[in-house]
Amino acid sequence: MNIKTILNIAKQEFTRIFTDQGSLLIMVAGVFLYSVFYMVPFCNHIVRDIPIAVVDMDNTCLSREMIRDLNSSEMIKITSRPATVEDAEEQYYQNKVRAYVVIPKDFERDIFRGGNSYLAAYEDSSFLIVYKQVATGLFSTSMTMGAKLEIGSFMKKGLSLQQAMNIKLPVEFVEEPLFNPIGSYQNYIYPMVLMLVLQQTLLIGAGILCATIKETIRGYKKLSKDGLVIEDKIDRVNDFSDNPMEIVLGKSCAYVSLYFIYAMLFMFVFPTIVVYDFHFNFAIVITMLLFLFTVSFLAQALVYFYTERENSLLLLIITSVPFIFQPGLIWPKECIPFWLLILAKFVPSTPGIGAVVRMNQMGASFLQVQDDFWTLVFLCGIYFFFAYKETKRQVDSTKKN
Amino acid sequence: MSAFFKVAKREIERIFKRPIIVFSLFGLPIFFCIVLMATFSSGIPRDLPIAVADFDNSAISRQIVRMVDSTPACKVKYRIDDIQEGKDLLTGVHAYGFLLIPRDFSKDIKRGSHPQIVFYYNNQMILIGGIIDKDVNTAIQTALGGFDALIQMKKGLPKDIVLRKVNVIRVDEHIKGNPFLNYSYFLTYAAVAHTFQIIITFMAIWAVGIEFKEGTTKDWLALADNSIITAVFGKLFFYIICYLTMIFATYALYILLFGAEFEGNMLFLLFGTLCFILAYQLVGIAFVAVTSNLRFSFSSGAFYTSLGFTLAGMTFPSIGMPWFGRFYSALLPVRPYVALVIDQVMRGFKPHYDLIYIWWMLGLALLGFCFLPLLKIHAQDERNWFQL
Repeated sequence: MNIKTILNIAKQEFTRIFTDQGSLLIMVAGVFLYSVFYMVPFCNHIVRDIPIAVVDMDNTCLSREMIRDLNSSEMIKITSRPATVEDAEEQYYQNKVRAYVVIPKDFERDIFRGGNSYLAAYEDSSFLIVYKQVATGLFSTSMTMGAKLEIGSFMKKGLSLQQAMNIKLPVEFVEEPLFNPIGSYQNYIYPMVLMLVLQQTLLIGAGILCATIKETIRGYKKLSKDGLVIEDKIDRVNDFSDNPMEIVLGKSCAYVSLYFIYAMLFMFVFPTIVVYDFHFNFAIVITMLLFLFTVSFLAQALVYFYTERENSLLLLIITSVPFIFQPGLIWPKECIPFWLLILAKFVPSTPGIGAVVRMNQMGASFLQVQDDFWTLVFLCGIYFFFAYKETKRQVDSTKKN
Repeated sequence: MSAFFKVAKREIERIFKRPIIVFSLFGLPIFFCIVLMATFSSGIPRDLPIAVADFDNSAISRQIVRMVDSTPACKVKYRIDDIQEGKDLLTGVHAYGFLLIPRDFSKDIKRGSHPQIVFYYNNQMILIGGIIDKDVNTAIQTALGGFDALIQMKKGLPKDIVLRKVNVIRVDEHIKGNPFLNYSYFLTYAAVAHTFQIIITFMAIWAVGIEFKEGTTKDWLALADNSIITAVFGKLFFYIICYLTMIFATYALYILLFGAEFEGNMLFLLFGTLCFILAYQLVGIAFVAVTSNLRFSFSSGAFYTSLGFTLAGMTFPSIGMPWFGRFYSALLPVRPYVALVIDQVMRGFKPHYDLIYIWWMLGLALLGFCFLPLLKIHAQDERNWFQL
């Protein structure tokens, strides 16, 4: 082991990232494009103004007031006022509205006589985020409207405003959202996506670079400058060293140094552009470094499965969506089968997202994310071992050439 | 044998010569569909752990805790003594929320001095936070409604006022499409479609791109009697059969295993799936036609498809996105396809309401189809061979 050799390998690998079009496209252009593109979908933070239809069968002063109140709710927006329930249903099927509300006949009369009335809401629940917004909008509007009417009617019976309010609200129930008070999807998804972008582009990009060497050891046909088909073949895995340990470490240093810059950008610069909350904690930097090394080692270990340079793209792009659900921050980990939770622990993003997102979004301290940290340490160890094994195999195969 | 089947036969032989391609074609989508189905297999999240700080410890407060505990989504797993302890449970993801009942809560109710119950929940996890908050809210409103009526009546208010104030205008919900509010259906259908869109695009790119990389485009065209249409569709034939079978097997398995209902028209769904497959294949081939390079096409295809899950509105609805997001999602066949699957499988729509999605996907397929002449020009040029 020689530090100088490792640095030379790192320097050479660093240049390869920028000279190989395949890795350049993934590890530089890809990282930027993905991280920028993913700002777009959630930049409105929450869904507002979901189109709904209202059928007013009552057509009285009170029903019209109800409609005005519904329309002023930020969750929903009344985009049509069909005359019949059938028309409303037709619009629902045509996907013009996500729900329709029917105000029954005698709505005003029933309420003014001291009784109760209702809103019949026909809501689509196949898309639950939309359903939740519509339901919240309808419930809170009807509750407020109800409260307004009740307080009025108590006061008519001779109670003071204060008494009336106390009857209406004997106990106050407060729902206090912690960590992401406005319920922004940017805060929810984007930090996870960034971690996944780091992992996936590094796995694929480094996979392309390392598999290229593996393919060249075997030899492949290519077109020379004067248009002839020649066979390209190399006899050394690395120009500076035949020691697999040095090669693995040297290459990893190159990848990690580039990716560490990205990680710092994501942590310190992006939050100001995209506006998402960010708690800083020095342990995040350490965890991030550990995460990046683990991913670099894994990238080199996976070369075992590749026979051609594009293989990493083919095999890994598909994994992003299943991976993002595994840390249990979107879908509760209590609901994921045990075998899958264990299996998913072997993917660096599972503990990586768990530790980093909890620290930077939920303000957890290092001690609180220890479980994820030690999982990463363990993964780092085993993937280094496999990366070493795979590189050694390549070195051995060149000796046979 | 016609040229079409000669090309198809040649393609099948090429696939089975390479284990990694066989694995990508069958193993990868099947494995990840199983992983996705397993992830969401529990359907509606139940018994999510929450904590309670009951400083009152009276009959009323214990009743409230019992009612919260008996909701489907929540389970009171921890008893805590202060807010910090609750916050620690939340950051450690041991619990998703905690309920705080203040000292002298029941006395204050009787005194009429307006006490407060607070429920803190983890809103960083919007989906989970939303589920538990909704159930806790219902339980507490119900509990309080009961207590109030009793207390007010003791105070001598007339019964009609007391009963009425529980709710003047209630919302009668008629939930369509997914009456049990099962979160997993939508996520599974969307994630499965997303997985397939990537692999369909990639395999189409590989099938055509590898001819360039290995310098065999002329043999391939010759076998198809120099017709690019025969050459391309002969190649795609086997993949189409495979994907139709796999996608349908996945749905069938899901419906059988998890009791998801099927409401719509099976043949229409089959036709929609065919359009979905064709659209992605032809768009994928368009990438090869433009770049005539396997790796560039792979990278472009990767970028095009992997944004699909989010931009097609799976995590956040496209109606809530800015114009750019909606524009991009319009270019992805997975967007109309998922809408069609949801409409057919969950909402039971009549096919004629969903014809627009078919046209949408066919439009994108046609867009890819327009690049075939370019592909032919590139395929006849030997300078495009053996590129890295």
